[in-house]
Amino acid sequence: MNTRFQEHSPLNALSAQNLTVSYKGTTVLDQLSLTLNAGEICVLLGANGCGKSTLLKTLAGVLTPKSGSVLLQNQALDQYSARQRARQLAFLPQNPAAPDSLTVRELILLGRYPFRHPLLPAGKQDKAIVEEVLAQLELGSMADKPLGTLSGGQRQRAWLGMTLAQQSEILMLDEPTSFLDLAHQYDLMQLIRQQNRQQGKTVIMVLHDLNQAFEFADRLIFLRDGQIIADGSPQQTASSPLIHTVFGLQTLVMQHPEQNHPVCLPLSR
Amino acid sequence: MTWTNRLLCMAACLLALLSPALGDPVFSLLQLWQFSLPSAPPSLEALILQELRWPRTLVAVLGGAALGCAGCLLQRLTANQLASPGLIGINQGAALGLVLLIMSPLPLSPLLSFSAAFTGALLAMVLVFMLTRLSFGFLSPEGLLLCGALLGSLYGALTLALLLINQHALEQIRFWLAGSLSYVEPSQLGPMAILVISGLLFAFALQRRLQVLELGSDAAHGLGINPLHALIQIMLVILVLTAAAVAVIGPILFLGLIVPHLSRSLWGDQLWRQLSGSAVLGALLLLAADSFIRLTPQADQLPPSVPLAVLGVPCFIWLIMRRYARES
Amino acid sequence: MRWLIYLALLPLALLGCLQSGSVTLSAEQLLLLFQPSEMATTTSQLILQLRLPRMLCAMLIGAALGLAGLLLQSRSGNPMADPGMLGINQGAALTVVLLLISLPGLDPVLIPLAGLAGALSITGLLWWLSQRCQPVALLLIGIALSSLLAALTGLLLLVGEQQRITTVLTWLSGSLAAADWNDVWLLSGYLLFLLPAGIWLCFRADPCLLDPLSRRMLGAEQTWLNSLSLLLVATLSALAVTVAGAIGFIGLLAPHLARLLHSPLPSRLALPSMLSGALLCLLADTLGRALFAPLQLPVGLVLAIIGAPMFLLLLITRKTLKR
Repeated sequence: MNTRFQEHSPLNALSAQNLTVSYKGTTVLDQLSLTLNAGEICVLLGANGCGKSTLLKTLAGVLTPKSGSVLLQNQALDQYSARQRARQLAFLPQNPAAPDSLTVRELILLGRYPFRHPLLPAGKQDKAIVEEVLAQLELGSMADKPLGTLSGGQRQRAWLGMTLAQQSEILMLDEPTSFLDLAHQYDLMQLIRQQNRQQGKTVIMVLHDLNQAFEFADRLIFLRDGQIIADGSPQQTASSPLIHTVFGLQTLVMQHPEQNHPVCLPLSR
Repeated sequence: MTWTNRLLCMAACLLALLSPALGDPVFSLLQLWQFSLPSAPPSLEALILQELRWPRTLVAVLGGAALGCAGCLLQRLTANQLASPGLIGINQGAALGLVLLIMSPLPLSPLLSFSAAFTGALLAMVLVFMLTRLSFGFLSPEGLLLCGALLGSLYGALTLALLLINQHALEQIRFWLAGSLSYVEPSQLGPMAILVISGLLFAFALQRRLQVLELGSDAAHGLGINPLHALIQIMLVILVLTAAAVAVIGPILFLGLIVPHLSRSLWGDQLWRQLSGSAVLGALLLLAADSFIRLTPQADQLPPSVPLAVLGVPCFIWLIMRRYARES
Repeated sequence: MRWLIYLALLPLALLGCLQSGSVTLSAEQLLLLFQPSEMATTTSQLILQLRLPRMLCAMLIGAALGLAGLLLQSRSGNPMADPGMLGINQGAALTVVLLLISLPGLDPVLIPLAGLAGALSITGLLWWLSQRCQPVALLLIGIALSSLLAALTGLLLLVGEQQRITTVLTWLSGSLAAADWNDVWLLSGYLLFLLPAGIWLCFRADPCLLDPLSRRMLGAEQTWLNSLSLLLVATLSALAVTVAGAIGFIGLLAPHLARLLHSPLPSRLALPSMLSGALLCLLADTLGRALFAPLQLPVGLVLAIIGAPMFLLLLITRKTLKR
């Protein structure tokens, strides 16, 4: 296991110690430890059922571990109130759902919920933040359109907007690109990277596409059978034996001819 | 034939034979035998037995068998374990038809009242299937139940409104409407028996078609059966059974739901067994509920639907909880 | 703009309600009310003692049930939920009947509390069950439960003494015929506190529109808010039931009608739901009085007759449940 990042971490955003999570009697994560550094894009990779979604949900506090603990800025996650946690950590689920008649602006404003006063309507600051997010995501022209009239890519962008409006240090995304076409997938990934680079957000996400992960991640974590089997930058981890052990697929790993990141090409078995 | 099977059949027969003796007054076995014979000397006891108790018992047997069987057919036909004519509004539709007949100038003969109930049931069934299709896009089980419940409450409200407008009709059928066996007339017995028995015979004759239909309409085509024809035939049998029962004993809701489940848990999934089991159990259950009511003092006018609801609703809730259990 | 619709509809409904009934009044007769004259006394008696309190009761009950329906729908995440359909109203009715039959001559202010006990226990049961099954199942359970409770209420009526039953029966059919100023004071006294609380809870219910996971990650899945909302739903239903008997469909229809015009956020729907609930109840009561005058149809019955087709129409046109 690669512990380089743990030793040199300037600021750790989130860490997990000896996490064991079981679901319906079977152990999904087994004694897993992990430290996530502030300001990096970290991607969880692995075959279906390896526990990557479970790990993400446990880190977000959705699932409670059977043993072990998650520390958010060196304080146990379960000691945060729901509102406090929501101010530190935003989470976009795999299948988010909202009524079709809700407008983009209203959806994004919902992201301000953890900050709002229980008695007062949305304040000036909340509205300013919503406008800022709309501008960042180039959603200004469709701010008052109902979600039902948007395309899949636009809708996913609006959802991303809702999590951005939370202005949290940490952004967690569970397969954010899974229902989008190729162009919109890259569009969304660019936006996420932009948020990371410009706003310094720590991003943790689950992705299915290896090449997207190689291109956009600072750090990759490969999971198998509930354990981390590799952890490091794309250049360090991209190797065809590792991909074979994780996914059971023969691949050819090479450098991208024009960009500075590895790519992998599947070989038929 | 398993032991439970024999035991239950015997219990049903025994209860059917002894049930007329129960009530106020209670007769001894000897009295039951003596006064039930047509040759018995005219007396109050003979009158009670021949004019009240025996018709009531037979009506309970026929009605229970019809409702149980109709419920079983409907559950198999829609592949929906929660369906029953009462829950998708067919019984209430039949009741509405009957109330309309009472308000009309037509006489209230058994045949006419059956036709009115049948028409109401038919329209209710067509409407509920049509609306479910329209609102959910397909015949989803929960959609059918939801539309059925809405339509059922609509028919119920319409029936009540009509009765409030026409007080005369209200007096005539107040107890029938609650689903009561206390006011059964012997003249209704003949037509009802003919309809229920022929309905049951048709149900058994059609059971092989239903089995083919359960494989899907394409498979039915492949096996040389027109799925639409088979569907219509089975629907008609369900309607005849429901309407014949409702026209005499009123809208009893939960019988058609519980009985097929009980039957299946006792005799298994095979259609023939479930169907015959439903008929026997339906008769047994309704008879038991009615006998229970007659034995309880004060509660003579209690509709059998009350004990059936007390029994049926927890069953229904348990079934739903099992079927729609939350994943995580 | 949209609010103009209510502004236009409300006076019309009020006027219609005041005019129609066993004695139809013309607009001039209504105007006479404001001029002191001999002619006007019987008319003013009629209006002040009978129609006005009845009208106010209908509006208050409609508003309460509309708000209760909205809260229940948003908190349970089920757009089909309604206190009437889930059996909460019937639960309240059962305990009230039990009380009326066993302890006659009770202080009428206490009756809502009895209703509340019934409504609360049914709400609690439903909540416990809903934690263990999918949303659509809750609806089916509620429908079954309400028919069981109705059967039990019927049983009570059969067992009770004949004389008391007559008074109970009129009340049970969901009628406003007996509404007087006492009812208005009772309702407004309770609602003065309950409605603002309900509106506040609606403001807190906005994230409930989202899927459960997103809702939770926004820190909006607070158990005490859920419990408080359900408590309020039960209280509002119990209150409506004690005054007017088991009235259904308003809690279902009013929020959906409001959604046709407004944003789906509960905070934006609170006022429109109350207004459309009030309008709906007023309309149903007026229809029930006017259609077969001098015979009166109970408002609950009229609501079921216009409500079920309306809701089916909504289902067909909007495909509310198809996600």
